[in-house]
Amino acid sequence: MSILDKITKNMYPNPKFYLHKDHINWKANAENLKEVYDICVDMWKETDWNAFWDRQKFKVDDFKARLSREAKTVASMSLDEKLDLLVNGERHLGYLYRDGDMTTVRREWRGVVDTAYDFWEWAKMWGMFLKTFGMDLIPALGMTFHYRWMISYFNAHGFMDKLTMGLRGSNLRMSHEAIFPIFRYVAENIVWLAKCDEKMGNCTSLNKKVVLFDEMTMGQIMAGFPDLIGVPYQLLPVFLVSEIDQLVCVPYIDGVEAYGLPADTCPVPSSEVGSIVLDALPHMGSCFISSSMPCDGSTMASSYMSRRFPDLPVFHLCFPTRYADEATLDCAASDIKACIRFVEDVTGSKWDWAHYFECMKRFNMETDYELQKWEINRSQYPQFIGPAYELYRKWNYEMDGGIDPRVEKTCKKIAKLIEKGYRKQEPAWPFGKMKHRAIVWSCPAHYYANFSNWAANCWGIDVLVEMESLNFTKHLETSDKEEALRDLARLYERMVMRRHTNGGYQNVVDELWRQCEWWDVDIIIMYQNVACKNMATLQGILDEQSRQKDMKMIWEEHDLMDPRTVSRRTMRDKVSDFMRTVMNEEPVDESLVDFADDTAM
Amino acid sequence: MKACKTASMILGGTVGLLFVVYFWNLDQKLMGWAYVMVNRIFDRKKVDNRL
Repeated sequence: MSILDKITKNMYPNPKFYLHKDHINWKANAENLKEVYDICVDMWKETDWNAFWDRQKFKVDDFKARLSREAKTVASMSLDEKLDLLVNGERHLGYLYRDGDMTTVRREWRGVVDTAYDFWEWAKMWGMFLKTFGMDLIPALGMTFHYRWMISYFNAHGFMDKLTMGLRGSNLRMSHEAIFPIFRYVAENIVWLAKCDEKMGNCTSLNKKVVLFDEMTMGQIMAGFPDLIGVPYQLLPVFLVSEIDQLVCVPYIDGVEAYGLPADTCPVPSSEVGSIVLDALPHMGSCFISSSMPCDGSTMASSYMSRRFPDLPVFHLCFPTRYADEATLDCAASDIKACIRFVEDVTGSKWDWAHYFECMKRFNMETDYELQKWEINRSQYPQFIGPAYELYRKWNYEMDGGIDPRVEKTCKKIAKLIEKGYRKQEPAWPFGKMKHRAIVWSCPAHYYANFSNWAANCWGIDVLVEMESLNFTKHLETSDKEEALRDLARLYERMVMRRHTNGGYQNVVDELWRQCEWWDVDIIIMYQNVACKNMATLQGILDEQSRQKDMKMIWEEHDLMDPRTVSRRTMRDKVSDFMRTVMNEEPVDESLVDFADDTAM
Repeated sequence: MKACKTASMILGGTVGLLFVVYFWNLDQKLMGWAYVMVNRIFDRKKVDNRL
C-alpha cells in the first residue's frame, strides 16, 4: 500500500478521485461558449432597455415602500411587542413573497439568536459549495453552459430558506444539520458528473470507476465497492433538482410529450425520458444499474436510456413485487448476487465484504437514530418535524445508506438536539402552530417539497411523519454473508415508493390506518398524484374507510413534477378550504393563505 | 494593538456586509436573475434531440 493510499484510506470521499486528470475538449467547449456568447449578444440587442429600467425603478420604489411600511409597523408597536419581535422574530411570513419574483424579498427575521444562527448556516453552506466546486472548478462551472438544470443548484440557499421558514430553536438547528449533508452530497456528485462528462471533464480514468444507478435504486450496494463511486444518475439532473426548482422539469416533460408520450404518464419517468431526449444527462460512467422502481414507467425510462447510450452496459434489477412473501426472497437475493458480479465484470473491482459490513453497521446505527426520532415525534412533544426531516430521511435511507462516515456525526448531533428539546418540552413550531397532528400519505409533490412547512405555518397542521419515511427498519446482517445478501434483497424490495404505493392493498390501505393509530394523528394529508394509476384505484376505498373511521382526510391533488397541472396555490387552496369549511377554523398566519409563487423557484 | 483594531474592523465590516447580503437575500436575487437569463439562453440553444 502506497503512502497516499494509507493517508486517504479513511477519508470520504477518497481525495484520490479528485486527482484523476481531466481531458477537456477545449475546442468543443470554446464552440459552445461562442454559441452562448452569440445568443447573449442577440438578447442584449433585443432588450427593451426602457422597459428594463422601468422594472428596476418599480423594484426600488417597492423596496422603499416596504421598508417604510415595516418601519412604521415597528414604530407603532408597544415596547413589549418590540421586545418580542427582537427576541422571537416576525410572525407574518406571507409578506416575504412578491408576485413575479423568483425569490423572497428578504430573509425572515427570526429574533437575534436564531437569525444569527441562520446567517452562520447560510455562510457555512456557501463555504462548502465554494470548497467542493473548487476541487475541480472548471468542469463544474462549465456544466452551467451545457445543462439547463445546473443553474437551479445555484439557488440551493433559497430552497434551504423554504425548508426552514418559520422555524426557531432546536427544530431550526436540527433542520440545518439535516440539510447540510444533503447539499454536500449534491455538490460532490455534481463534481463527479462534471469531471466524468464527455462534454466537460471527460476524465476517462475516473469514468472507469463510476457506476451509475437509477435515481430510485438504493445506494447500499456500492458499500461493497469502496474503490468505485456510485452516482445516482438522474438524481441531480431530474429528481432532486425538481424539489429545488418547480419549473425545471417542464422542458423535459414538454420535450418528450412533443414526441407523442401521453400526457397522463407519471412525471417521474416522463421527466427522465425527456431529459434523455433533450440530452440533459451527462455522458459518463462505466455501467448503469436500473430498476423497476417506482413503477413500470421507470422500465420505460431504462429502455430509452439503453437506446441513447448503447455502449453503456445496463443491469436491470427486477425484484419480485410480493416482497412480504419470504418465498420470493431467494429470487431477489440471486438478483443482488448477479448485480454484484456484473459490476465486478465491468469495472474489474472486487466486492469487499469487510467494507460492506462496516457501512451496514453504520446504517443500522442510523436506523436506530431514526427509530428514536419516531418515538419522540409520536409523543405529545414531537421535535424534529418538517420538510428538512422528510428530505433527510429519504436521502439517508435511499442514497447515503451508511456509506458516508460523516453522516454518523450528523445523526449524533440531531439526536442530542432532539433529547434537549424533548426534555425542555420545546414546541417544534412556535407561536401556537402546534394545533393538529398529521400524517402524509402517498407520494408527495416534488414541486412543493416544503408543503408541510406551509401547512404548519399557515394552519398549524404539523406533519409528524410521511409515508416515504416508513420503510425498512430491520437491522441488516453484518457477519453472515449469505444472510447479508438476503437482507440486502429485503431492503431493496422495500425501496421508496415500492414499499407502499406499489405494495398493494394491505401495504397502502391497512398500513395507513395502523400508522394513524400509532402516530395518534387527527388529519391525513392524502396526496393524489393525478398520473399515478396505482393509487387512483384505491381512492374510493380510502374515502369510504376514512368516513367509517371518522378520520379527517384532505385529498391533495398534484402532478408530481409539473406545477402547470395543479399549481402550488391550488394545493394550498385545497387545505385552506377544508380547514375553513370542514374544521371551521381560522389560519394561524393569515398572510400565508393567499400569495403568489407561480414563478418562484 | 493597532493591528488588532484594524483586523477587527475588517472582520466586522466583512461580517456586516455579508449580513446585508444575507438579510436582503441579495445572493438569491442575483442567482434568480442569472437563472432567468441562463434559461432564456437554453431556450435558444441548439439541442441534440434524439428519441
